[in-house]
Amino acid sequence: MEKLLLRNVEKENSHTIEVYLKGGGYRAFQKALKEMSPEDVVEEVKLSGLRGRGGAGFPTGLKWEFAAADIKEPKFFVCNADEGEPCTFKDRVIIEKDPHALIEGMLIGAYATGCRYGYIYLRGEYPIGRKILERAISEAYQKGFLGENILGSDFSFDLYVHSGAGAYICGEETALIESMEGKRGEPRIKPPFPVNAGYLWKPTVVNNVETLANIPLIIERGGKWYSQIGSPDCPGPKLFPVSGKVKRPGVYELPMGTKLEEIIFEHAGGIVKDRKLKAVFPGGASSSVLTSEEISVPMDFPSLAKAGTMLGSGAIMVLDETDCIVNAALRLIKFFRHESCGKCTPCREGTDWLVRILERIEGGRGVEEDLEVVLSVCETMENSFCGLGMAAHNPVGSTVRKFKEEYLAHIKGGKCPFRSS
Amino acid sequence: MESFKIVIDGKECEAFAGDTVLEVAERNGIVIPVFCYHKELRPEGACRVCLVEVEGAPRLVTACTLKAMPDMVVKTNTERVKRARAGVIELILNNHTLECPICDKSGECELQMTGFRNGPKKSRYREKRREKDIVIKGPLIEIDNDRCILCRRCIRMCGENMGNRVLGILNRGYKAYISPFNGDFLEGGCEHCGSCVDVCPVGSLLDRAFKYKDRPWRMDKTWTTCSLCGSGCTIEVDSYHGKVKRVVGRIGVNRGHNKGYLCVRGKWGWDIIYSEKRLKEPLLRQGDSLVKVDFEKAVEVLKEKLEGREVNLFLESSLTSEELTKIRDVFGGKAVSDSYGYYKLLRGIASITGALNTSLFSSIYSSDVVFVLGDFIEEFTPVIATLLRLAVIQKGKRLIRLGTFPSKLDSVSFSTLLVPQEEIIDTLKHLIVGTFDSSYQSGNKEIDSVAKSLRGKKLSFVVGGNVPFSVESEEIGKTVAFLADRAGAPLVAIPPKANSLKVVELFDLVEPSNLKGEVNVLINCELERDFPGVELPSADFTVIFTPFYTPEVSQADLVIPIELGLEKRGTFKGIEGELSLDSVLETPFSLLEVLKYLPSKGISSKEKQVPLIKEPGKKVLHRKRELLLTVLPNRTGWNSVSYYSENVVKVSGKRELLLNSQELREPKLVSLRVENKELQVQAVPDASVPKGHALLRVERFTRDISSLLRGNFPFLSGIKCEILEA
Amino acid sequence: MNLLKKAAFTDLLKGMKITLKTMFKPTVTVHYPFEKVPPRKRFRGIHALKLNPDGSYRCEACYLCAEMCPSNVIDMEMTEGENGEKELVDFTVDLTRCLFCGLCVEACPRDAIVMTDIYEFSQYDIKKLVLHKEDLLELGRYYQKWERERER
Repeated sequence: MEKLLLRNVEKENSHTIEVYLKGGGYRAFQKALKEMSPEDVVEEVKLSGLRGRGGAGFPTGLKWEFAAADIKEPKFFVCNADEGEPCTFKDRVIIEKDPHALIEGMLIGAYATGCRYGYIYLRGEYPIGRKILERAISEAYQKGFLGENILGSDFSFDLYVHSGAGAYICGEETALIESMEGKRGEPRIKPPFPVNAGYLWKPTVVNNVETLANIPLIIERGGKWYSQIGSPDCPGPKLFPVSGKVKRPGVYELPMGTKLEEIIFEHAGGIVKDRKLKAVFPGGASSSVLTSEEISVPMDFPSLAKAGTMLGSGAIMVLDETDCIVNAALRLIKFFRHESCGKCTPCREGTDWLVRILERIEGGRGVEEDLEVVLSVCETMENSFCGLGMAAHNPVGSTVRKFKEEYLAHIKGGKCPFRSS
Repeated sequence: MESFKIVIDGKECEAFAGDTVLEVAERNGIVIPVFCYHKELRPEGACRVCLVEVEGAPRLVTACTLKAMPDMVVKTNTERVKRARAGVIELILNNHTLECPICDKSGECELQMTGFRNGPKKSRYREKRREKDIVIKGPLIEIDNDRCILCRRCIRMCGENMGNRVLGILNRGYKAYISPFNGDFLEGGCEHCGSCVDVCPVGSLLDRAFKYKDRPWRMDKTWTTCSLCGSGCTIEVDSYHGKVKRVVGRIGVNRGHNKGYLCVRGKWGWDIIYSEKRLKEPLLRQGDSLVKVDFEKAVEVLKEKLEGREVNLFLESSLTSEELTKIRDVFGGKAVSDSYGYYKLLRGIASITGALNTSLFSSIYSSDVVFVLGDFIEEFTPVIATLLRLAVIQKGKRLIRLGTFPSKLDSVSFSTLLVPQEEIIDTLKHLIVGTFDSSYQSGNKEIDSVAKSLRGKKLSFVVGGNVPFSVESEEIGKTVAFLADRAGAPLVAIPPKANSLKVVELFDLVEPSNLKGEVNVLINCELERDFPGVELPSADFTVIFTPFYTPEVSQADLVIPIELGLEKRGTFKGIEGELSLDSVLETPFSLLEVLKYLPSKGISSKEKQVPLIKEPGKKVLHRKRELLLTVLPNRTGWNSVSYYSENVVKVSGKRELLLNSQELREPKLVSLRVENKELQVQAVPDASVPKGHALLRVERFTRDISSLLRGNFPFLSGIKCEILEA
Repeated sequence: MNLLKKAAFTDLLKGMKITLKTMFKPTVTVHYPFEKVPPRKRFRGIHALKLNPDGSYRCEACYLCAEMCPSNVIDMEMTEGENGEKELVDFTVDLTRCLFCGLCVEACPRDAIVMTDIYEFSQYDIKKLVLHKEDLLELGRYYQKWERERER
């Protein structure tokens, strides 16, 4: 199919404004600014049915409508580029290869919601991305797409890059806002939601990089056209970063609702050395696992939710038959233990307990009751403060449920069956 | 306010907009366990113990953050809720140390209680306990992170309610722990108010003076009033076998107007009772030395010496009303008191209102805008400053402050007007006109904007801090009372000492030079501390009633020991009406006991009349080139605690002279000159001190400061001075 | 008949018969002050405070024994030691009130307070019936010796 989000990626010097303008860049923004009122833009985005690509899948048009309705001034438009989950690297492609698409998306969003200032909260581990973004922003200022009274209109917008300090939790929107304010990156109580009281307690729109990269397409070609791509409930193109034991790992742009099977075996070329597929994490590190029988599921928000997992960021992690599922779960929960901010009890203590139990099982010192304990800890962690804790237990809980035999083999055998020593 | 109904556990409860479900449940006697929630703090939602089930919501929600909505149906005791609760408590308890037998919190520990009631019945934890052996010891507070459950009450208390931001979290996840900035309380700017210790639900934050001293449940708890400043805080004194072990405020439980907030003096100053300098027997001069005599002999000598003679009475104002009444009865109504400056302020106010009195402090809660006049309220009456801060952040009042020096209150104030000290009265006069006349232009934008924010609002006025000690106190009193009178607003004049109001009511306060008696009688006072700049008049005989070996004891002919505030029963006349003192401590001496043996003079009480003038005050201070000196006793200073309390002395500041950083480039030793007296002192540049002012911070008044201030009593502020090179 | 019986001292003789019978059997009573019966294993005598092998006391002054005590026998004073540990200043056991119910022993989380086999503690001065820390530690040393012997 036609490449939409990755349309500029393969061009040479795709990160410069010249290449972007040549490919029809900033046309959508000019169209929005000259021909459409902010309400029209919001309507168009609502019509497109675009849902946030950051993980929660909240309808973007609705979020913008709430923000536009708030009367507090000034408003802030924040791009969440804190892509910190293991195996997720979709935003990086856009940031490094097509930064102007992001800036254009932000401009349109800011115009639609009436935001005066914009921030790109960039992951601290993307130093190249930072340079590219800063260069792109200065180019946009030079060309007059940013600054005061843009293109002769009364719309003004200033954009800044804010580099994070390496905390995964700052990908959570309220923690991101706290971090931007210079505080500890910890989630805030919701409500009030950031669209009403976010950065400096002013209305703040927080959107993912990929979401924003979709916006120019919607404005240029119309929301109706967009809503016909992929699944009807959540249309649009989607970037799927595929990693793990596949022959061709990488980022694939496919319409929403493409079958998982198809992504793994057709696009990513199947499993290395043609081994058997064992398990797939379909939506990043915090999603529940799918077994090889379940991979015919279409990759969109409702279908995956029906399958007991979630789309999340869309990062597909593939494990083959030589991988130890306990070790995989342990590795993931260790990541969450390290990244838990420590604010709420279930996440802080639960991740640590799970790590300790899994370490014991992996080391062959587990007992059968441990599995029961794991499941009940997972249940308690459901009551965490923010999404991190609510989802962190998924890789552990789901593997215990779906690969119970393997766990029992570890416990009964007294060692990990996948290790030679 | 409009109310609506919500259903909790099948019980219909009344709720108001803005209430959380937890608050509604609490009001209706439904117990929901909590750790991170505290009545006085902003909800955090961190501990996840207060989970409840709401009909229609897929997940369990925390009651502390859930706002009540009409027709909400909440269940707090379903199996699902109980399981979730037990799960969370299990997670907390897994790595919690089993130090209960030696933990000072055990017995009043919320984790013990909640764990017992709602926790799991059996442990499933097979792992080795994760130790977090980080103990941070401050001079008075100790943090034992092993016991911490990271509820963050202390952080919110310190940062939001007290405005100090000393405590914070270091590291993240399961390694997170509580620490003051840089691991050092003093460097972090801790004021040692003890509120963090008070709200800690477990024994993580410890009162070091109480550490391992007793078990909480076995002590006698007495509610009394702190006598160490004019705030009049209600405190709980815990004692065992007649020995005080600690003082606690019990934030959220305390029913006094201070709501449980304390300061370093009230919280840790109790150990003056057991000071080594405590006087234990009456002393009588025989020749050159003082010898111990028994009580009867002392009373006999006293009676003989007092008979038919006029008395020079020096009075400190933290005596109870009962004692003061008796003193007046025995020694007559003329006295020199440390409340003299406050008396001048009240006299100024009374010339407008007609009564030597102040409004109740709680009257500020029924206004919209609180106008605060005065500097260093947080040093003289720290709890009043806390209450003013809380009025802003909890009750949403607007605070407007007029003063000379920046204050901690400015961080919450709506606007702050900082003017040089000599212009305070002028500024007030501008406000008097500007508040009622929208067309008035004072020529100063800031004053105009303050006048605008006062216009048409329900106002209340608070005067305190160093105003009673200012050279202009009477004139300021007149001016601010005039403004309050025109606005029809209550005016609260904060007394500097616990019973200043009663002293002003009962005694004819005079200048020290007006004393012409033959016998000096000093009651509960220390000359340098309470009367800086005053010398003891020459007299035939000097009697000192004092709890301590004060410096004046060497000049005395008869010394009689008396009891301290925590050992008294009686009443105070404070800013919140009558405050009562209670005690379970036994003392061998009592001031009232001694006075009982002395003959009454039979002075009839009469209402004091102050002529009504109804005019704003006149400017007194005129400055040319001199600096205006303010002598400020530190938070720890000015009471007996700074002299005799070992706890408080650990955190007391040091003496330094602060000058504007443009007038002084770098710290150096200078000579401070007032009239013809000089004092060598270390001067430090400080950007917060306005130009033309000098701020002398002292940890306590000593002889050299007293002699520097000679003749200035009762003033500590607005004294003309010069700085000379040392 | 009765008269005859009385005249012949039959009752007396009956009694004498039993006396005669038991005269050659071994005695069951002991001559108390000179002879003592060793108490049973779980006898509850007066209190003692056990010591650690290094000679320090085990009690950490948690006050649970005193809290359990139905007759307010135990009282203690505590403070912070030089090294920051909890230190017992005084531990008093008022034997005049004690019921020897043993609840204090049950309550002790550190197994510090125990009851010895000593049951002779009468004194001429009532004040001496209040045991202090040093007395109790001395008793503890005795108890530990006795315990070792008992287990042997």
